[in-house]
Amino acid sequence: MPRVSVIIPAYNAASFIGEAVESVLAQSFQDLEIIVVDDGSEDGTVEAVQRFQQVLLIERPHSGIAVSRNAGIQAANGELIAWIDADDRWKKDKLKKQVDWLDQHPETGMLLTRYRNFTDLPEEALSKEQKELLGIEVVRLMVTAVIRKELFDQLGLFDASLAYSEDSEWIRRVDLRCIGAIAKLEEILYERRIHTSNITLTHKDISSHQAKALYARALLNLRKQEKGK
Amino acid sequence: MYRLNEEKVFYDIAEGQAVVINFITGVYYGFSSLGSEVLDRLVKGCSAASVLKMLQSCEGCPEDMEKRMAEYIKGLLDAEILVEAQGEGAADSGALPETALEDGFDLILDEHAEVKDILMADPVHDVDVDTGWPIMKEEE
Repeated sequence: MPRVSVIIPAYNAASFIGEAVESVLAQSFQDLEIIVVDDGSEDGTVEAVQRFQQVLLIERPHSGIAVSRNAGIQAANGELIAWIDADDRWKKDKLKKQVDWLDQHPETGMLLTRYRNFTDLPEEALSKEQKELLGIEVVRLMVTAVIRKELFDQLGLFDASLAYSEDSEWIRRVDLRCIGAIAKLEEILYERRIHTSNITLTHKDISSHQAKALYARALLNLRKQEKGK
Repeated sequence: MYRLNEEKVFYDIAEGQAVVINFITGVYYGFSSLGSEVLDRLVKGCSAASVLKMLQSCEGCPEDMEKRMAEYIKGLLDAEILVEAQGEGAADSGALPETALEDGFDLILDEHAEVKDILMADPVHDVDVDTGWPIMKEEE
């Protein structure tokens, strides 16, 4: 069994997914499997992935990011789950540094890293918002995380009824149950591509009302999970 | 009739299970299946009398349902989840979904305070710039 399952949810990512997969294949830590969950792409994403023999490709009808993430987790054999968005890329030592850290800190359930934004777009094509994002280097992206798979057994999978913010809602479950401390590495190990259709640009920062709604939904999902046990 | 006390609480229901968070106190509330269903109907403007009538039409409804309902609504008002509102309230014509009686006819309201520090943190403004999660207040 591989130690780490790297899950790449993909939807119409033919232009970028090859680079994402290559950045995983180039990792200094190699005890891993790569699972691409194609969410009904119509742009040749499947064909772009099929050239990588090492990748397990799961094809699904278009159902959204949460369903894709869940399909990846359900297919995963690793004790650790890592994410990379289909348009992003990893630094060479990302996985090694996170696995080493988790091995030394068994109390940590989820380890994030700092990330930077980058773009292939010419400056004149960038919006003001995109230019601002290029200057940000913070640790707020769940996609940078390596997570112990047992957390999903305890807290449940992503809420498939949420069209976005499924990661924010799940993190609130971790927060509310205090299961597995969340930690971060200060080093920039993840590179997020800014392009014309990032979901985090199309869905702006959450409002106070939405944040409350996420906590409420997290509590509901925890109760459902705990009732089912 | 009653309405949700939106100044203090946030309400959500999914798959027949309701949850209410009081963001002033940090307390949250869970409900039995029937409690969730009744609360949802009251929040949507059904009159208490029509909800009671609907329950009493169900097979196996306990004889003291009216008393149970009155106690349940008192609990919802005491917890400031509902407040009284003007008007008669709508007639409740909907039949109960099967899942509403998973826990029987008990109308249960559970109060939980164990995560109040997390829930009382302002989830937008008390967010750490680096981590993105709410910052907890220091113990006094």
